[in-house]
Amino acid sequence: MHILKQYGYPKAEEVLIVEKDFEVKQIVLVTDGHSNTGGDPCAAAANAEKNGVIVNAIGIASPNSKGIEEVEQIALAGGGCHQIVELEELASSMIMLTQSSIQGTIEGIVNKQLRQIMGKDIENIPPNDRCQIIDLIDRLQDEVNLKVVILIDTSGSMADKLLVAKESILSLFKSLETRKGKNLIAVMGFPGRNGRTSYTISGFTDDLESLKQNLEGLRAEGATPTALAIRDSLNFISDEPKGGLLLKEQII
Amino acid sequence: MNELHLPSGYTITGRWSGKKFIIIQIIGRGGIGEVYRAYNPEQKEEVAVKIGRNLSSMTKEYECLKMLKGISAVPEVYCLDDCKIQNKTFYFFSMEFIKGQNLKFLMANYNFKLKEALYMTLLVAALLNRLHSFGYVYCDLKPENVVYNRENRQIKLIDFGGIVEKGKGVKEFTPCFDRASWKMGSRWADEKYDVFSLTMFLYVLLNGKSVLPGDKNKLVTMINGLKKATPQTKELLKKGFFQKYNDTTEFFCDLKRLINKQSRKSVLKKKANGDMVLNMVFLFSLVLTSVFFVMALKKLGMI
Ligand SMILES: Nc1ncnc2c1ncn2[C@@H]1O[C@H](COP(=O)(O)OP(=O)(O)OP(=O)(O)O)[C@@H](O)[C@H]1O
Repeated sequence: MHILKQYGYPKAEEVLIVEKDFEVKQIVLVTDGHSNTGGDPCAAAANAEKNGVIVNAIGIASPNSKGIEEVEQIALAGGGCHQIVELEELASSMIMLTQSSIQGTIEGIVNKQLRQIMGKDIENIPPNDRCQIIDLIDRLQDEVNLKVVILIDTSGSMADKLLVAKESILSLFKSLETRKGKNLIAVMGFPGRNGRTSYTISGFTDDLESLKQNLEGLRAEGATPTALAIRDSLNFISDEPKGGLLLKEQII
Repeated sequence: MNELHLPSGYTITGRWSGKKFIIIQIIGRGGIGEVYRAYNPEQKEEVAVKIGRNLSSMTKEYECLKMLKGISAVPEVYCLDDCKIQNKTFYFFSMEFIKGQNLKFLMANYNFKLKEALYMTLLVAALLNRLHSFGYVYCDLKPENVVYNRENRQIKLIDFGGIVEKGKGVKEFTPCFDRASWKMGSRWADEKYDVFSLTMFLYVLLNGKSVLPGDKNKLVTMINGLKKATPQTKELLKKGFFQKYNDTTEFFCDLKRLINKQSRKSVLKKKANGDMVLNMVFLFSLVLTSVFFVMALKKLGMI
């Protein structure tokens, strides 16, 4: 029997809901080294989390990558997950982290509602009664709107990895495309040129062709100011006017 | 991320069922958790226990296996439960322990002959066909997920974490076997998605190892470079990669025809070989009789 029925709610979908215009906001940081200029990236990530934006971090392992363990601390502070992967696994990792952040967010919302109704969260419901709630979480996960900034380290050491990074972003798009909810993907690079901390490679878009085109602007050089770049993407993800789809920032 | 490393002899106790499982050894580690060989003292039997931190994916995989109960190539599941280890909650389910080795492991130690690779692929095709007829797409087909038991010559699929209903998005994939990574289609789960993976599965068995995804041209080069494959096999691979099969049934029939042809050919070859032996015997006896004849004539003093 339906577990919520025992509490007088015949339909789970009537009590466990996500607001219509709610969107999961997240930053996916991709780097192959540690921050070497511009402050503490963990503090920046914690600040993003405080503002409702999850920070995930992926470290690309390579023989000359130093201090890559930093990604764990960044993700921890940013309420997200981290992975250290080989370059070939970048696409799978991006997809996995993005999806699990969506799942985590929805689970959090549903658990809060369950606690209000039943006084306990899903973990404390017997395994065989969880099924329907999980189906519902699954559906909400599929329907919720998503806004994600891929924040990619384009410092000198990344030069030989950017082609794969580009393919990986397109691969992420192909997975997100099968969701019912709206997906907006932006891509930012750091460091920026002429003293700027970061630059926009592709503004928020849900169109594969324009994403493809914009990704041609992915180039590598310079140092690694991770903290300032996280701050910039937080501003970017928060400031974006609602409904502005194909807002294309100037490409520096 | 959350590796457990449970030592042998460690007992996990289900929070809800009270069931106990004594760990024997780890048998695999993957994206969503770890799989252990374990002993259930109550039933006095060995089982496999899959355990991980993600409530939803463990529950879903369990439910899925439960639903597919009865298909012989799907491991039977027993119980779904939670347990606390080092103050963290883990989710697990127990299932039938499958004897045998996964094909990736086999491949590392053994070179598949063409006939064997085709036959394995045929078995998997039949299985996928069955899943498709239930409305599901398996999505994560690769040699690691197929276990072959030499004793009864049966195969089983493991890891049902990626299975989705037709028309949904693919959740789990491995780039080499994923048509989207090859730019050969989308990540919408349809039968053709599995047919692409199945074709790659056959390719990898023949090639001896998996490859990094590329584009159409790379696929063509790969097929042409296969030493073990006959022209008909190459044709099948090409049709599979380029999604000329609408469903697994079409792929299955083509493959079966190919296997039949191949075995008929080898029967013919055997027959031809047999003929050769007969001829040899005939020739030999001919020589022998003539030698006798000559000797007899000699004895008679005619030469
Ligand atoms: N029922 C079983 N009996 C015996 N061995 C099993 C069983 N289930 C899984 N295994 C072994 O454990 C390994 C890991 O299992 P599985 O692929 O299900 O894990 P996973 O975490 O889902 O991995 P992946 O990251 O590949 O999805 C397998 O390769 C297989 O060798």
